[in-house]
Amino acid sequence: MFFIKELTHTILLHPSYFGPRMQHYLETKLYSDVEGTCSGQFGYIISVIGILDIGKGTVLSGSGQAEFVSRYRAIVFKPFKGEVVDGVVNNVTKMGFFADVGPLQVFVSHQLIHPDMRFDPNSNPPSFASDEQIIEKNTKVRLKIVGTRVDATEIFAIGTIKEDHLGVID
Amino acid sequence: MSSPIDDRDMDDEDSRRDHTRTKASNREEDEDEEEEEEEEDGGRGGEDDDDEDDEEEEEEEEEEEPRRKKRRKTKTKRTGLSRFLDVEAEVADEEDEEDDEEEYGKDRDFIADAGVDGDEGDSHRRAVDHQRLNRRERELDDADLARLAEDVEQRYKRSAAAIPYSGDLNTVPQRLLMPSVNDANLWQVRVRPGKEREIVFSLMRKAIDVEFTNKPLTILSAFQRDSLPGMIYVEARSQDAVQSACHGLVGVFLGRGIVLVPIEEMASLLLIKKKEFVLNPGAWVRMKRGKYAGDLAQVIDVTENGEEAGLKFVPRIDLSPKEETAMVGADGKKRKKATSGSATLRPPQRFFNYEEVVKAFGRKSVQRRGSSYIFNGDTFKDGFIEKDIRTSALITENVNPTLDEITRFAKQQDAKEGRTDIDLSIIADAARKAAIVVLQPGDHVEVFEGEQTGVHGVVDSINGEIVTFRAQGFDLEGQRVEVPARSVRKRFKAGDHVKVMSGQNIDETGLVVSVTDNIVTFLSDMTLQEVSVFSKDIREAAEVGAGTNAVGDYELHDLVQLDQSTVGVIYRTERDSFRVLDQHGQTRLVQPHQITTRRTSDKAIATDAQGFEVRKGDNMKELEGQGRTGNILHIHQSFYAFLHNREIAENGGVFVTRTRALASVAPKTIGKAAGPDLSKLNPAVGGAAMGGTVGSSLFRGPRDRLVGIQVMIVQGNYKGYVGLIKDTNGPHARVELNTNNKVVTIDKSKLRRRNPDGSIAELERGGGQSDARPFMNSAVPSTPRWSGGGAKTPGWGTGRTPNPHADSGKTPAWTASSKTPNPYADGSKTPAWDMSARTPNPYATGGRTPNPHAGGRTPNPYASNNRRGRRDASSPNSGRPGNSWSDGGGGAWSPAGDNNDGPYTAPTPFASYESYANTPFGDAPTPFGSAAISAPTPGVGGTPFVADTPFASATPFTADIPFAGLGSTFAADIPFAGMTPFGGDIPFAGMTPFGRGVSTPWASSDTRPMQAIQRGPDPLWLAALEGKRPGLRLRIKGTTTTYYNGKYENTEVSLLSAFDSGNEHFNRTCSVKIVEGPDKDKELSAVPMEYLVPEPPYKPRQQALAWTGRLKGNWVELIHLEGPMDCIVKTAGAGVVQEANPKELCAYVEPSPT
Repeated sequence: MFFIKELTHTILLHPSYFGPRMQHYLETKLYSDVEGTCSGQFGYIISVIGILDIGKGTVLSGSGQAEFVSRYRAIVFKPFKGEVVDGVVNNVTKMGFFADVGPLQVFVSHQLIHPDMRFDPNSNPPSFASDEQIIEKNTKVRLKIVGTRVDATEIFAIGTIKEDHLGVID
Repeated sequence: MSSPIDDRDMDDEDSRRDHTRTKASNREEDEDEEEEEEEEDGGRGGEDDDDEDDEEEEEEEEEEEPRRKKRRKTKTKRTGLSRFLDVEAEVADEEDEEDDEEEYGKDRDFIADAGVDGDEGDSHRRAVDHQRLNRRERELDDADLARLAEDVEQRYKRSAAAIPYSGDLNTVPQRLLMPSVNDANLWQVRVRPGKEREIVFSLMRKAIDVEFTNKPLTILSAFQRDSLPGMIYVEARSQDAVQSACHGLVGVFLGRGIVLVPIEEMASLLLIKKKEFVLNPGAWVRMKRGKYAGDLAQVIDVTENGEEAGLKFVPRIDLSPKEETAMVGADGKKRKKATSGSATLRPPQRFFNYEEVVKAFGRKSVQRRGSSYIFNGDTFKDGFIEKDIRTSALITENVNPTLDEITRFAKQQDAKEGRTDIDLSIIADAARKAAIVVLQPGDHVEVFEGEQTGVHGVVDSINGEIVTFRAQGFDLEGQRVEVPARSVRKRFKAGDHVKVMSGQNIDETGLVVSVTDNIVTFLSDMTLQEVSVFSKDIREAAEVGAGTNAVGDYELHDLVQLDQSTVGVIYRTERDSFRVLDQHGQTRLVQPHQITTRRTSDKAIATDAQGFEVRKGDNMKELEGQGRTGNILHIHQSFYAFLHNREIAENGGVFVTRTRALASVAPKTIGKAAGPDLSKLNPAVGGAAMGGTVGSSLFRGPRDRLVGIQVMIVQGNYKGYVGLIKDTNGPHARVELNTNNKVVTIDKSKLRRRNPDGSIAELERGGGQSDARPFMNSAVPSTPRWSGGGAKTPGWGTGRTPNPHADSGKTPAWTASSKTPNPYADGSKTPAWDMSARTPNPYATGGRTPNPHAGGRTPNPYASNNRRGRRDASSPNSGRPGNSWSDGGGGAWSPAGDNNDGPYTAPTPFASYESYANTPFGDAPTPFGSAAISAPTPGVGGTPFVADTPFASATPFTADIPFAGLGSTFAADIPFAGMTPFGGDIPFAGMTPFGRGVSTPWASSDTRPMQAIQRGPDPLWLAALEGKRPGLRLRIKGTTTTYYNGKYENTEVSLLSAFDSGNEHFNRTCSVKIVEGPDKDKELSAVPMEYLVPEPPYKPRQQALAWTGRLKGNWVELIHLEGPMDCIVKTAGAGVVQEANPKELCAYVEPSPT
């Protein structure tokens, strides 16, 4: 699920950057530091939509670096158990397939695929296929997240398409 | 048969055997066997000798049985057909008697009655009768009683014989049999563990052996207990008896003492605990011993007495028939060997495959019987072996079959019958006890049996066997439910994150994908593989399997050294071992202690297929083979790369390949490269200062500034090698060679600093061109060397080429006389050019010398200049004056003719030049002729001469000098001889002698006219212009027969790059771009440097580089071209306007179109 979330990020700035373009440095740094990362707590930070406050730099004694605690607003994506999402199949193995839901990787086990769909090892690319449908790389699927594993820097999910209205979408 | 082993045994045996007996042994002694067979009626002769413990019992019963039989027989004989008849008869007799007597009494009563009615005499007679009758009756009764007693006794005896009589006999003797002080003692003897049984047997054999000798063993018995390894017990009256009995037996440690067993412990040593074997069909057992030791087997059926079980298990058939033939072909001894050999090398578990076996052992060895096969006396069905095994050879407790083993059974059955009737609950049952232990409050459980089946909830408390949990769902929500712990199992649902707490996959974590009864399948976080485990073994866990990937000091994906030459990457960690993929692609299982060390490859760098640097962490793609992609985990020896890709199932996604077979997938480190590191110094601010210091501070050692610089060795054995100075010591430096990592000590004077761009500089001065002047003086000593050579081509002898490196530092080159000093190198040349630059006269001198080439060379640049002026008119052919020259015709001067057409024809010097040019031409034949005489080959090869514009330009003059110096025509030949190679494709080499021979005398004698001689550029002139070369305008000259057969002869090109191989073995080559003609913009690579001559500027404002002469190395701008030998230029830096010789200049880049 996507959220707009206010977050903070701490930037350390070397004294050599103090000067007229400091603001610019900080903003660039913030974007590059934060976008595309994932925190277990909030999920993937998709995009910074605004910097609320770049923060007042506090010069740290000892190093001379300035610490800026920036507040910004970002779109975050956090998957939840039970959420239905759309994804693109990335890899099909006999155990199941991996689908990319934006930055999130979701594994759909063959146990959670309808038994009609069988893994076809001879097909190229490898696929799960039933009479009507075929799941192979780059197929778009709708799936339901049944479990997530949240690390500090990564989220991994497993999903199912063994329910109504789930599976290949056109 | 069913009576337990009891003391009756001892009783009987004691009486029967007095010497040795073995107790608690599974095998019967031969002796017993014999006895047994004797006693038996003969029906049991074929019974296996290794049958059961209780054959002793059987035997005793057998012993008893005949006795009983005998009795029975005698009885039947005695009683005739039926004892019934007998009894009836007897009874009938008695009854008759009674009847008689009754009748008799009746009579008496009747008489008496009559008597009562009668007289006194009658009454007396009646009394007497009564007395007699009484007496008679009493006698009768007595006799009857005795008979009756006998009869009863007999009858009871007969019926009692059917039931073994074991009442009093059983208990009373046992008490009496308890050992007392009067009995023999029991002695404990230490033996080699594992050999106990053998030793007991050998004791027995020994006893039999010496039984009838004069020194029989005086021990009474010996036995061994399986539960007491390393000791046997011997019953004997004295310690000496034991000592003598055990003496000489291998494996008996008499030295460790013979210990007397206390009397009260003796009985317990012989106590046998009867084990309850409750083997049910379908149960799992394991083999204790033999080929199948440890293998899992399933019980099919059990014999009634529970001593044997029919088992089904996966066979281990050795499918190597070689051994088999050896077995058959050889004698018994050999066969034994063969079998023992096969026992040590246990064949793997494989399902019986008829085809395979037939292939290995021949069709005859296997018989088919219905759906099963008989092979080697064993029955095989559905791939399994079915065999009856004694239960004593089975492990029935703590079998703990793994899921793998069970599924193996299941799969085979599945394959055969298309169904899985494997009852996993059996395993679950076995493990249920453990399951209770692993339950914890907070666990999610469900009830799977009993009334509450299906209820699930969270465990509240566990009290012994009772689990209390708070139910969830339905109407039971929130209620507390108490159930036996064995009826609940942990409950998981898809999506739960679980961790394995025990078993093979311990510490693995993952997300549950499916739950079937008590088997949970989850997707491992580490490997992204599916793993199936029992629900009892897992627990919900929040953390990701961190512990999984570390065993000891080593972690998953570590690069570890396995032995001297082998490294590997850990791709899987198991409980206390690793799976490692080594650099050869082999996988192996290693224990932590087998790992020598862990290595890091953080700093390792290798080059990929395109020669780019690759480092740890790069995403690379295989170019050959399977084209796998992956992230570099490690680089080994800059050659092997270990990569990891989660999507590859094999070896945990780790694979090894050569770095040269890799190509980068994506621009490097996309994520991190974004933006500068703001916590470090701003590169924009301190950039310059940093840039300067970073590089050099690294190289600047504390003691000597030379330490760490890169150098090239220019002299000696290591000439041409590049290395780093590791250390300096006075005039010496220790240089680590780049090639082979060797450190050599070398004179500093033989070293040159090698700049990052590949140019060479003076060691101490830190780059730049050195002043060549001093070498002028030192040139003198070289003269004698040249003349001393006698032969005109000393250069040939040595085969040296002028050392390009000598350019920058001539001194050593000169002093090291073995080298071929390059006379043209800068310094020496300068004055010559100066001369020529000043005076147009040199042509006069040039004219004096018979060498035509001097002249030949000169016009050429102009020719080309002209052509440039009118590009279209020029054809490639016109650029090849040499051809005509070889004809000896004046046509050779066609370029000169061109000059006339050119814009610069006007200047007087030009005209004069032309005339001069002709002069040498006219003279030319002479040398030719002489050349032909002295050295026919070169002479004949006229072409070279033709080719020679460059040659001529370069050296011919030099040729003169010796000539002049020696003052003989003979000398004149020398140059020509020397030229041979020039023509013959090795122009370079050919030049050398020239250069040498010539310049030296010239330099030493310092004859002005000589100096005035105009020269073409040294072929190495380009090499001397390190770093300033790209963009220079050049002309290809002298390629008539060599480079492309002269196709590009006289083509004007611009230099792209120059490769200076730095030694004589490889050509110095340049890559150039054609700037005119039909092949415009075509790039030519590997044009030998010596074919390139500078193209002078011809147009005002044109940039040029002074490649030689006074201004050497300076950039100038042409202001005005006065004539072929004269121009006015402005130096780039200082802007000084001065005169220059255009020939000393080399035009730079494309002239502007205007």
